Amino acid sequence: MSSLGFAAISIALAISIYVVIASIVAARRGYPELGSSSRNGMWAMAGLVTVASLALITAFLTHDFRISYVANYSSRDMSLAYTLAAFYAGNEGSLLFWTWLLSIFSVIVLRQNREKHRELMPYVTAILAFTQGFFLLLMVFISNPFETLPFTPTEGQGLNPLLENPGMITHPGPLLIGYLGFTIPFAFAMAALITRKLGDEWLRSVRIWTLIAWLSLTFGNIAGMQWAYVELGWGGYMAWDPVENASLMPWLTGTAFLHSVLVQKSRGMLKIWNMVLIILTFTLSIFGTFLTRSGVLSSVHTFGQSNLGPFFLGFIGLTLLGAFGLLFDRLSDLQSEDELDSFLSREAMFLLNNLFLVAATFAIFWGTVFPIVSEAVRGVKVSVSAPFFNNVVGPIFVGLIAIMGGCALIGWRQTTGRNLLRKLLFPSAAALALLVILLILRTGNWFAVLLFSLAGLVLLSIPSEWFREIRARHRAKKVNYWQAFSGLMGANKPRYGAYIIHLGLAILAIGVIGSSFFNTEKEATLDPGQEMTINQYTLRYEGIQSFETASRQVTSAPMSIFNGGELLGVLTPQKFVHRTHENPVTDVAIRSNLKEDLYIILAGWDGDTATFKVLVNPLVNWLWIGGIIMILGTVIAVLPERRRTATLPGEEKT
Amino acid sequence: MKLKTYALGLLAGLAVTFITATAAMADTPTVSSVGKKVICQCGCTLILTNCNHGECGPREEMNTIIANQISAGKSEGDIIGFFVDRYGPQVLASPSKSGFNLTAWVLPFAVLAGGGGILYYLIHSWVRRGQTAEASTAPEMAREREGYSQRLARDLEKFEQR
Repeated sequence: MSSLGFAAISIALAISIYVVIASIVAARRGYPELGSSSRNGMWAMAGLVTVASLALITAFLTHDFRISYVANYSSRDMSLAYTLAAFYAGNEGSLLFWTWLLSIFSVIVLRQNREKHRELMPYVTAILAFTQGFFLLLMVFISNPFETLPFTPTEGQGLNPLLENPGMITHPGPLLIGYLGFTIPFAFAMAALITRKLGDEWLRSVRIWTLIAWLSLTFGNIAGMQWAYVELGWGGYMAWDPVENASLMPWLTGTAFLHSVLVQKSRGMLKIWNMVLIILTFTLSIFGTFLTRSGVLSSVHTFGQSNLGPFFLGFIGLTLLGAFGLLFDRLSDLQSEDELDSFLSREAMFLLNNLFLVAATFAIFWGTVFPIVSEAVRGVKVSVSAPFFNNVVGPIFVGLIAIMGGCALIGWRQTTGRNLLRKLLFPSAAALALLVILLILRTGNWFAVLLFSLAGLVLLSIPSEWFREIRARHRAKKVNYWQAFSGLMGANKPRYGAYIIHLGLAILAIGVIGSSFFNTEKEATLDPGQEMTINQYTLRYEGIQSFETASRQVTSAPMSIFNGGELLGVLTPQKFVHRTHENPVTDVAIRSNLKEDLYIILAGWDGDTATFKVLVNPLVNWLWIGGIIMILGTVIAVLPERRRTATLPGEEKT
Repeated sequence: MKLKTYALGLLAGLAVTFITATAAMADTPTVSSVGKKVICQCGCTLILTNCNHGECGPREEMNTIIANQISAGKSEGDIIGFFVDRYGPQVLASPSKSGFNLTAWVLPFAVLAGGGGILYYLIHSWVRRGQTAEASTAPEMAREREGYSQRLARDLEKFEQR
C-alpha cells in the first residue's frame, strides 16, 4: 500500500507541473489540444490522489503499522469511525486529505464550466493545479504519509484520546473543506485579473463555491466549539487559541466578501475591494494550515514541530506578492461603474459591515502574531490570550451586531431617514422594553443587558421586515399569508436564506452573551456523601469508582443532582488514562437545557476524597441552536433559484 | 417630528445606559478573577482557571499564592505584579497596556477608526460625485427623477400603511 500510495502522489506531482505549464501555454498560444490535455491532466491528478487516499484508508483499516503514519495515529481497538477519522488526524494525512478534496472540487469545477468561460478556465486550471502541486510537493519530499518504519510494530499508538470524540469526526473535515473551498473563488478571481475579463461572470461562477466554503467553515467552527466545550473540559468553548483564531479569520473575511460581492453584482462597484477580500480570504486559509504545522505558536491543535513552516510561509508570500502585484497592474480595469446614492443605503451598510469584519480580522491576526512580533522587536516573550481578545475583538463584534440590526431595514440605493425610523419603531421599542425589563429584574451586568437588547433588536427587526414583505405580497397577489411566505421564499432563496442566517447569528450572540457574562463557578473538595451547592443546585458526591476498559483506566465520581430537594439525576464526571498516552483526559458531565448547563469537572482525587470544579453556564444551547439555524439558512441560500418572469415588491435581489 | 424626538430619546437612553454600565464595573479580587488574568506555568498555554491537567503542580501552587495574597489583603495589581516578578511578562494572559505592548491594544482600534475615516470620505465623495454628475448632465431629468423618487417613496409608504 505504501509503494502504491507514494507512486500515486509522485506521478500526480509530475502531472500537476505539466498541467500548470500546459494550461498557460494553451491559453497564451491558443492551442486547444493542449488545453484539453491539461484538463485531462486534472482528471488524472484527481484519480491518482484518490488512489493514494484509498491506499492510506486501506492501510488504516488493515492496521498496516509498517506505515509510520498509521502506527502513530491508530490502534486495533479503535472503532471504525475513529479509524477512518485518523486519516486526517495528523500532519501528513491532513495534507493528503486537503489535496484529495481539492482535486475532486477542481474536476467538478472543470465539469461545470466545460462549455463556459473559455478564456478564464485555462488560468483557473493552472492555479488549481499549482495549489495542488504545492501540497503534493510537500508530501513527496518533506511530509510523506506513506513513509515506512524499518520494522512492523505489533500495535499502533492510537489516536490522541482528546480526539476520540464525535467532534473529531465532525469538525476538522468541514474546516478543511472551508479552507480549500476558497481556492476556487481565488482561482477565478486571479484568472479574471489575468485575462482582464473583470465583469460579473467570474462572480456568478464562484457564488456557489464561496457559499459552500463559508457553510463548511461555519459548521466546522461551531462543531469545533462544541468539541472544545465537551472534550477539553475547562468549561468554555472558545479559548482564542491561535488555531481557533486561524479558522475564524477566513470566515470573517469570507463573510465580508459575501456581502460586498452583492454590491458589485447590483451596482458594478467595489471591484478592487472584492479582489482584495478574496486574496485575503484564501491567504488566511493557508495561514491556518501554516499555523498548525509550523510550530511558531503553541496551541492544543498543532501537529507538533514540523519543518513545513518555511514552505507555507513561502507559499503565502508568493501568493500575496503575485496576487496583489497583478491586482495593482489591473487597477485601471477595475473602475467603478456607478456611484453611491446615499449614506442611508444597503450598499453603505455593507461597506460599514465590511469595515467591522476586516477590523475584527485584523484584531485577531494582530493578537495572534503579537507574541512573535514582541519577541522579534524587543526580545520579550508575551502571551496573548482570551482577556485580550474579549476586550479588543468583543467591542468590534458588538458593532457588527448593531449594524446587522439596521442592515435588513435599509434598501438598495436610498432609504429616507423617515422610512428607516418608521421601520425601526417597533423593533427598537421592543428592544428598549427588554432593556428596561432586564434592568428591573437586576440581572447583574449592565453591559450584558445592553448587549442582550441589541441582539433583541436584530431578532425583531429582521422578522418585522420579513412580515412587511409577506404582507405586501399577500395584498398584491391576493393570496393568504402562508402562500405569500412560501412564494417569497421560493422566489428569492438567497435573500431569505440570508435573513435566516442573521437570525441564527443573533440567537448565537445571545448564547455567547449569556454564557460569557452570567456564568457561575465553584470548586470544592468533598468526601463521599458530602454536598456542595451552586446557584439552585445541590450536588452530593457519591464516592470514587475506578475500573478498566480495553483501552483505558477510568476513574469516575458520580454526583446526585438536586434542585429544591428534588432529585434531577446522577452526573458522572470522569478522568481516564489511555493505554498509550500517559496524560489523563477529562471527561466532563453536563446537564443541559435551554436555560443553562450544569457542567461538572472532576479536577482531582486523593483516596476517596475528590475535588470538583462545577460551572453553571447560562444559555449555551442557544449558541448551538443559533449555529444550526445559520447552517439551515446557508443551505436555503445555496439552493438553486426558481426562474421568475416578473418582480414584485419585496422580491428584489439581495 | 415625533419620530425624530423618539430617535434622539432612544440614542440618549442607550448612551446613558452604556456610560453607567461602564462605570459600574467593580474590581474585587478573587482566586478566579486573578486566575483569569494569568497563564498557568505548566506549559499548557491555557489561562490558569482553564488548566485542567489531572495533577498540575504549577496550577496548585499559583492558586495557593493567589488565595494567600488575597487573605493578606493584597490587591489584584499586587498579586499580578508578584507573578510578573517571578515568571516574567509571559505569565500575563494579555500584554500590559504600556510601552510597545500598547500597540497590541491600540492598533486594532486605530485600524477601525482609520478605516472608518476612509470609508466616510469615500462614501461622501461617491454620493457627491453622483449628485454632481446628475445635476450637470441633465438637470431637468434629475429634477424629474427626484420628483418620481419622492412620489414612489410616498406611494410605497401609503401602500404599506394600508
